[in-house]
Amino acid sequence: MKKIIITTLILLTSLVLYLHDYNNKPISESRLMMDTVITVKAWPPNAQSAINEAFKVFHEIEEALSFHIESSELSALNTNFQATRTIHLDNITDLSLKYYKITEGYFDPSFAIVNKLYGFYGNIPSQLPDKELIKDTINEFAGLTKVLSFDKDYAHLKHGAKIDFGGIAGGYAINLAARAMVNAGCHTFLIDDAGDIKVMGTKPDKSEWTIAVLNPIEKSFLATAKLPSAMCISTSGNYERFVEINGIKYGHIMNPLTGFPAEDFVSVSVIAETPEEADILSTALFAMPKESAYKKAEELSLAALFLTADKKVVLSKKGNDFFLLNTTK
Amino acid sequence: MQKNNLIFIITLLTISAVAYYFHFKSQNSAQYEVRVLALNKTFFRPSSNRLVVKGYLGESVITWNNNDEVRIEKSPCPNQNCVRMGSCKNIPLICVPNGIIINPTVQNFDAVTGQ
Repeated sequence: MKKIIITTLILLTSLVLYLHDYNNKPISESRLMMDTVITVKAWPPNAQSAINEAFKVFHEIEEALSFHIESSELSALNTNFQATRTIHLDNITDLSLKYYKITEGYFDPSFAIVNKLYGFYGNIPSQLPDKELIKDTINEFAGLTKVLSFDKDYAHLKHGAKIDFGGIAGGYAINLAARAMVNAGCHTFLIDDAGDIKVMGTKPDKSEWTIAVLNPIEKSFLATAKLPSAMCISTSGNYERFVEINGIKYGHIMNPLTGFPAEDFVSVSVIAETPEEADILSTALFAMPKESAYKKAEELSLAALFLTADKKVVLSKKGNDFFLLNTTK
Repeated sequence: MQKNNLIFIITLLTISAVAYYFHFKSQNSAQYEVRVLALNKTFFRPSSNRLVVKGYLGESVITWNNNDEVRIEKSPCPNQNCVRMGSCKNIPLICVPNGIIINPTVQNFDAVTGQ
């Protein structure tokens, strides 16, 4: 009798331990959306239903704000130079205008027209545009406040201009997806849209959220970032999207003052409270000349990590609180 | 407590401990998870060190070398960026056009930024 009781107790303890472990395991799902890989990882409760809700949001944002989907609201604006104001179009243009001013024009979705000259949208073969053409195009069609206007029902775009929300749509989608996951009853998760990352909650093992920052040149880790709950990180670089002209790679993030690809940095990582802010500011700082970027990071009190073109690693003052540099090679 | 009972309990506890050891070891073992989004399948490093997986566009060939570095050797994608990445260790390799994600599961990170 004693043996049966002891055996039962041990088996029950094992079962409880196993179930505890099983119930604390996250579910992870990746999908190809918004021209990239999006991964959502969630811990119980309601992990799977929350992940489904998150992907619904990404799908909705892609349908509304994609530059490439012909039926999107953004395509209507780019094609007809007029589009009905919708909640997503209003939200994203409001945010874009806000950060266009904060970054003094270094975040400028209307710069798509210059990217187009290089052949980034597949409309023409990749080519180095004539300097005068770049200058004329910037003067005529670039500058968000110059080309975008609104009336009660419609958003208007200057004829010939183009807008691409690629530098903000990911962050915007992450923010909405995170809200959807919380509403679905999941409070511990990570959303990763190609390196634009938001973390939420406390993992069951209470370990800190740790994000590795890649060094794209040496294919190693540049640093790790410790993120408190609800914080976001984003990294911008020109190593992933580029056109190759005569054997030289030209990145997609342009310096809006010159119309040429920004080349002072290899990558810029920014930690912020919202994914939109992290997404936009990492792009804007990348587009700036070095000294302007460092100054802006301090002015906005940003946690930023810069990898310069000459392979130097620079941290903003606040960056020291979040980033731990990898000293091993 | 009788000697037989004591032996019985120790045996049970030993079996439980060994089972838990292997359970956690298998969770933390050093291996690369290869996810193929097109087929919604997950693969692991084979003993042959050569894995052929079918993605959205066709077959990608993934190989490992003796230093545990992994690379995409062949890919049907148009720009071949994944092939140009070369051999990597501990960092993810992604081929968006063919829907292939090679993710090292040995690392102590929740995610990677700057890919």
